[in-house]
Amino acid sequence: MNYIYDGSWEGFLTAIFDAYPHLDSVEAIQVPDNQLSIIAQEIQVQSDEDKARRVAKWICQTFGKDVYQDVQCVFYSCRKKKELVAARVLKKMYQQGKSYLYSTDADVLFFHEAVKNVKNEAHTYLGVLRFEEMDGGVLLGKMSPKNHVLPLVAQHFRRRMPQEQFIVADVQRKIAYVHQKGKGNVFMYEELFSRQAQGEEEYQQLWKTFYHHVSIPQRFNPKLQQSNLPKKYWKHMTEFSR
Amino acid sequence: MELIDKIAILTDAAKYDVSCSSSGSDRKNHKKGLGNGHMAGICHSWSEDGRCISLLKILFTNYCIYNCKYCVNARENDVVRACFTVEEIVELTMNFYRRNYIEGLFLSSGIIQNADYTMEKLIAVAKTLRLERGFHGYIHMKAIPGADERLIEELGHWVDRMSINIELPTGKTLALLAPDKNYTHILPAMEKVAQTISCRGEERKKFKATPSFVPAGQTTQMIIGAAREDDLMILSRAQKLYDDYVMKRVYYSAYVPVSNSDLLQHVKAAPLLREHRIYQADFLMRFYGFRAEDILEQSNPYFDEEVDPKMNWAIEHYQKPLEINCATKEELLRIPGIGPRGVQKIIQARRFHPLCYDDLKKLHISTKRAMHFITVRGEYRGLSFDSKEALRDAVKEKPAAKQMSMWEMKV
Repeated sequence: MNYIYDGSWEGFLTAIFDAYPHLDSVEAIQVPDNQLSIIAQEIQVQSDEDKARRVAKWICQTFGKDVYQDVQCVFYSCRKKKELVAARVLKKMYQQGKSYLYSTDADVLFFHEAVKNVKNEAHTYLGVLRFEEMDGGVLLGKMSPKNHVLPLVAQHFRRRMPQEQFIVADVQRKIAYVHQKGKGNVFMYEELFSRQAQGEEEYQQLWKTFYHHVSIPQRFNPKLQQSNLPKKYWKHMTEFSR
Repeated sequence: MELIDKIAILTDAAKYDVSCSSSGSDRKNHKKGLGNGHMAGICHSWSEDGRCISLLKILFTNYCIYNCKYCVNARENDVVRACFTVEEIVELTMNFYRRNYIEGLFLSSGIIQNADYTMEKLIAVAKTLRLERGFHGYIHMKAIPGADERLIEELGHWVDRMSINIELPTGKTLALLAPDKNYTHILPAMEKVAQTISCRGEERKKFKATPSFVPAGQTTQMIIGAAREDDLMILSRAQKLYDDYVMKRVYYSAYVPVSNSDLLQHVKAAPLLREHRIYQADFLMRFYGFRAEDILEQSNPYFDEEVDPKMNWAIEHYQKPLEINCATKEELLRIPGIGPRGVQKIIQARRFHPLCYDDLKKLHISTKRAMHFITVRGEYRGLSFDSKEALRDAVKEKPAAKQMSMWEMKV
């Protein structure tokens, strides 16, 4: 059986709810992928607020807040089969106790890997995201992450700069977090229109000057630099532009 | 002088300082002002030498009345000098921080007029940032040895981390290379910081509103290779600093030849491998329960360049392979190639069932270096060797392959 859900967090929790009783015979929990499946039977999951809330509450109360956050990370992951693995891990953890999390079972290893991958990418973006000041004092930061780390990154900046107006945009998924007057929302967008504020260019120059001068020529080591900061992050970073 | 020139000059002057960590402080932002601390620290970029950049590491000024032989900014050195104003640094910090270039400010300074005057400048920067600009990001500042105790206490109130450089491992070498500096200034300043930290900690247990004092602790830095000191001297000094002053970290910086002093002509290039070995040993002291005297012995006070200190200890103290499934936590920590995280994973996983080699692989614990020292469910996969020397030969790190030139090849 294949469970098809709408890609939302609520839909994901609902799918876990629906699939839970017969998880062993489920082949996939996934978003629609336009591929006609001839063999597998498809079940459409209707996102249901009540079911989602019950699953969320169950996870928090039986396994704790940490596990809940980890499940969320797995949901943000770009890996295939993440939904089914998350559901299976929850069920096995319920049956065998929380210590199952420390076993060497293939599912739980996948689960940890996915969490680590998402958390690492989000953490890297906390550092390498670069804001540019746009007209009207709005700060715009662009990123193109593999995993859907926007919620995690946005949460960090919401706490850090509550009074600034800023936008964090995932330019691959075309989705942006917009923060204004202490509050924020997530939007889908088609295109970003903006113009650099006056004086922005100067600060970028100052930063580039600092960046180049802080390096010690006698210790020149581009290989180490790249292993610490893989090239995929360079694209939107001020110090590497032009 | 333009701001951009000042940045270039005063960054060049500050870059030999190694510390750049932004961890250890979770200063809160109560919905006003700019910034907060991040307990684990955040790296914002990496420069071409591969070192991380997390703070705006800069000097207030590179004018200096001291004449330390190893320092680029020594009085007698012929370099371009510049000096920021308090406002300039504050403005730079705020604007770099908003754009997420940096995690905060790391400010140090050459000594102008005297220690107290310089400290007052640093305090002015910290105070303006915190009070006038509502800045809650990370601030790391150097305290100037010899400054009044009250100034050290005041600075500690505004910053997250303070550091006072020990510079060299003994008072004698310091007197030789830094004639204006003195252990009798440096050590009491460290003592003062350590005392105030512990004192405030006690007070906080009683009164929640006790003002903070260097929440991310104090650190220091030692220069490697300038004074012909041996490795054991460096490690013993570090051990003593950790014991006496509850240092968060001791940083080591391979001396990069920047001076023409006769006393330093023996250094041709920065001793990077040596620095690396010392860092490895430092981690052993901080996270693996080793002490300086475990790692090196008086009879041979230098590191083996081909074998890392942990491997070296394991070879010297080899008795028989350890069984992974019954070794204690302390024993596991001393196995080469297995770190604190690996130990944690092993201990948690072996509660479930006895581990086999396959399980270690699944947990991403490499046994490449460990295999000569362990058995896993009775299975031994290491070499058979009959002496410590044979084992040492087998685990030597191969020097990076040197490309042979056409002329060296013999047909």
